[in-house]
Amino acid sequence: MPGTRGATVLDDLPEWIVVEEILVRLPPKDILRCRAVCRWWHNATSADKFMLDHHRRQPLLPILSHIIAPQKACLLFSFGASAGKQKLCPVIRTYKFGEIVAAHDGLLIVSHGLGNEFFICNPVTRKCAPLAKPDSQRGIYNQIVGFYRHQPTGGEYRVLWQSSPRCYNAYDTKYMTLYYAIAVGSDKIRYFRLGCIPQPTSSSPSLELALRKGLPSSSQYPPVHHRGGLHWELEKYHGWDADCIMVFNTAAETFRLMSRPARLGKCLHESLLEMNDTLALCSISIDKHTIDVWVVQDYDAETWSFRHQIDLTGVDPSALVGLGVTMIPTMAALNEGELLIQFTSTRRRVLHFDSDGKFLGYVKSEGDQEIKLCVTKHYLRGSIIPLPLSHEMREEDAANQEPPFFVGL
Amino acid sequence: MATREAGKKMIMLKSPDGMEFEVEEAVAMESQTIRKMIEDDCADTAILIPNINSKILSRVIEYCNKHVPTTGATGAAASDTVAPAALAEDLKIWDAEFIKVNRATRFDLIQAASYLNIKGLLDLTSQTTIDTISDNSLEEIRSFLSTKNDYLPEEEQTIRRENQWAFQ
Repeated sequence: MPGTRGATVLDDLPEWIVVEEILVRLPPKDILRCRAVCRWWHNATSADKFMLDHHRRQPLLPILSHIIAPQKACLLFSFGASAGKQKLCPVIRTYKFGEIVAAHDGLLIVSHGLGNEFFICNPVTRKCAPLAKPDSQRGIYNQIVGFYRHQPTGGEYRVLWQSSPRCYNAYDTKYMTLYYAIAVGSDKIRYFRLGCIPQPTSSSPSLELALRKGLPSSSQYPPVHHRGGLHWELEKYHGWDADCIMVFNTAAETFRLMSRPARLGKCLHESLLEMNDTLALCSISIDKHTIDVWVVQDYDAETWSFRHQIDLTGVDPSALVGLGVTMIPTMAALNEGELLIQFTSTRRRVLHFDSDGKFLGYVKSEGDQEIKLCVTKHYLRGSIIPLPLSHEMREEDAANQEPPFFVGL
Repeated sequence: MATREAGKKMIMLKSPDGMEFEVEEAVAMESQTIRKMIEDDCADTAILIPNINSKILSRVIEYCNKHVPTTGATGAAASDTVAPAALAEDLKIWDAEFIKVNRATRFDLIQAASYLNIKGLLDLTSQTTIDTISDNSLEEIRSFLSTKNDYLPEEEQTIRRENQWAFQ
């Protein structure tokens, strides 16, 4: 009967329609619950293809954080704003200086404590496990610079690490930076690149120099995932002009440099983002009046075009200038073409712009409470894919070892 | 191909029970399956739509007629004069009326939308079943959907325990 809940007989439908058109549209929580309905629902929703299809349907959401200062704990939210409705969903709660170090495909790497223990977790299925890290050596600083899926091995998740002496010395000829990967669920190290002073025979001295200088920590400056590559905009620093973008090919596991839009004078800050499946570079003018948005026109030819300019002159100036502490602005892409930008760490100051650069308003917390939200530059596309490990840690087991505790989606 | 009005290509769709429907090409191309046939030049005379009876096919065409861009059901260039938000609201109300059908018809429409690859219609028709699953307990889902529980009690308990939080 119209509008009433009739005795729907799902057997009337072919199995593949139930799976590919109905079950795949369910929210992750309902899929996990539905596995207890009957055997074939369990099998159908546990198939790799199903989990991948389901994952691809989930929106890519930027993660915002809210620091609960006294406990050095942090609440992380995924932020969605479809059809004009803002929604903050709790993702995970960290303790003891914990923060998101890297995120990819619905998996998060979260740090814990000052000793830097790492956990890999899936906030959708609420599973987590400790992550292997390289042995520490005196005077050597190890940090995670990227996290990716290695297609040639059938989708193994790998963490890109970088090891370098603690103090950068441009003139020390012995100073070098080491790049290697550790697959999740393994402790085997794969070395693949050494950044050192280029030899006279080097075919790309700029690449050598950039690798020697090192890549930023993924927790603060995560690379942009685009077309199977990780992308970093390189900062200019004295000694040479880093007017390019570093690209790590996640299949071949090689580095290269890519050209970027020409710099038109000095800017306050630049952010590389993926917007509308395109690589974009957003450049904030030094006077905070405008943001120029450049997009890749032809990825292979490495050509860029100017897309639009965001006018900041109409925005409440207190949203642009912080009191006391100055922070580096952070940006995140939302709904493919929209932008979240944060200039200050004071309250309610995450600005939301539409895909044409029109100011839409401030990001509000649940019930419009005055809580401080920060843009993290990490994203979550929810997934019910199990952790790539043989032994998962459940929330209750994990509690004893003080890992990040989940609030869950 | 028949041409009724200047500039408007017509397409003939045939159901397996022998009915023929003449529709504008733009309307038929709301279906990605038919669009592909037309674009691949496999649709010279009439397109036979297997497994979809005339009753369901006529409803599908009704849906496509309403949802084809720029021209509404009235045939006027609606989007030129009406604000997009108002148009979307109108479509929403129309969809809500359209989906007031019995269960058998809804399932037939899901199948038709799936075969013809009409995303909007598929979203609309499958949503009721998705809501049923989301809003009810396992026992209720099984009874509403007549899905048989083939687990042993202890097996079901193990599976429930794996994701205990999802049941809270």
